[in-house]
Amino acid sequence: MTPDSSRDYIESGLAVLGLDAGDDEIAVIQAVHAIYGPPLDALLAEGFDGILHEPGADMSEPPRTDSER
Amino acid sequence: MEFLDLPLREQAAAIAAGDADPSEVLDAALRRIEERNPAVNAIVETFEDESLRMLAEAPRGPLYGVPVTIKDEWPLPWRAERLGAAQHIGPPPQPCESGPYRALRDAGAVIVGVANMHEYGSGSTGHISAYGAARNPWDTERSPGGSSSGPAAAVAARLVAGAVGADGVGSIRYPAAYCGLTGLKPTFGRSTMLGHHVPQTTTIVSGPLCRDAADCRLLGGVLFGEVLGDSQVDGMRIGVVPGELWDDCQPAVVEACRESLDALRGATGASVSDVEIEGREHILIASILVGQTEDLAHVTPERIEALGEDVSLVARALLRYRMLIPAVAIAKAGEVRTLVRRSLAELFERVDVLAWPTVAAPAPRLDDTSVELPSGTYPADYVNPRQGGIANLAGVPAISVPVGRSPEGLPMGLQLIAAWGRDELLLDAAEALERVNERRWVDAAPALASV
Repeated sequence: MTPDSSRDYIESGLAVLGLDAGDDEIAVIQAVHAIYGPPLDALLAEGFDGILHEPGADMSEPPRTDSER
Repeated sequence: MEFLDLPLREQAAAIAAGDADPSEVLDAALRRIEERNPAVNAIVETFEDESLRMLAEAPRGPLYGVPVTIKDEWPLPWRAERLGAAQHIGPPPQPCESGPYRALRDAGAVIVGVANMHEYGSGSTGHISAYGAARNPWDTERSPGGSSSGPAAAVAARLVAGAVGADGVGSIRYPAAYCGLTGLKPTFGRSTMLGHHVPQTTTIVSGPLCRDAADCRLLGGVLFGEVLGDSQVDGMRIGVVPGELWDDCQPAVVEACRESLDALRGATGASVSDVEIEGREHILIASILVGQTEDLAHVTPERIEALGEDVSLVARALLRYRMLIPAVAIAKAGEVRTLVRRSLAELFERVDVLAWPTVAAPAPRLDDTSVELPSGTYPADYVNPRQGGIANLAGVPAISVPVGRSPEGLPMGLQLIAAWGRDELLLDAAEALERVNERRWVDAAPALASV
């Protein structure tokens, strides 16, 4: 995403939500997206095929084994 | 050495033995805050009347009469949390008895003040706060870490010997590392979270920030509602993950952490082996996506628009940015979580703890919170979750232990991570590290605290 296209995305996305943003806020968002955009894109590109979902995951406990599902 | 310079457990023991008058201790703590706090901005509010009342009503618990502080993330019966921010997003919260407050009260502790924090808990540096930045007692031009910036600065400056923070993406461990303290992120759900403003969280935990592991054991036990036992850790199996968790850190940090692990290996017969974590390449973004969207349920465009300019530009921008995150990204972060949890469960069959630096570089400057790493220069906020986010993503406990000081004199920390429910093992391992380092790093105090 180029800086121009990211600005378009940010402004149009916020507009859809009814949110305004000044130039300063847009600049901060663009700077943040420049940093987090690549790992976000890498995540979005993952298909995660074949991963067994952890139903009712309890973060205080290890995941249940397949035999416990 | 003055009474307030004693570790938390020694303060408690002295008061319990009648060797110290808790009312005099409270008075001394308030005076020390008055004298030293302007330099570190750790404590944002004191309330002598409430502290006196707590002392008057204090039961003879394990922390009877001991002064402590609590992060501005936790409500008190006389003061709602403000989250280090000038405005709340949505209806303002009400004062109430939060779980940490009740735990401290029931232990007989005396809350002497509320501690500073990074605005809305949205940063690992503490340099943005409606109260002004908290400052690192080791160098007041530098960050004390965040978002539990005030708790760490307060303990490092010896204003108090124990503080209660909160850790959603490393917010106890980063300040511990930056300020030369021991900070425990408990197993998810093991410490009290009653009254927290994100009750639906699956990442945030309350936890202790103290000088050393024994003090964390004491304060952690108070927050857990149980006495935490201890044991020896001879023959511990330590797993290290090759790659950026070690390689993309400043050389001084790597050297200090490796030396401590080598010393631990020599003293306890611990073994160190290379391991890998599935999904590791996505942990940074996944932990941020999960941790920074859990509290969005109450956020609306109208409420964001209502935030005035006394809320930081960064906060106003980040709230807007978070509204644009694709839902599919959150779903995929959940898959990373599943992968990581299964991988860790398998790993902890083969190793007892995982180890890597808590943060890749020592505390950055407050006026420029970027850090220089072998791979480049980045905001500390971007890099820190790479090191710490996994514990919150998975729910496992993690601890930061001070292991050295950089050439600039700044503290450095080693992070240990254990399996669910093995918080005590982390404390045992941390104590072993303290012993092999001859307590050099946990007993050291910055010049500001040696006055």
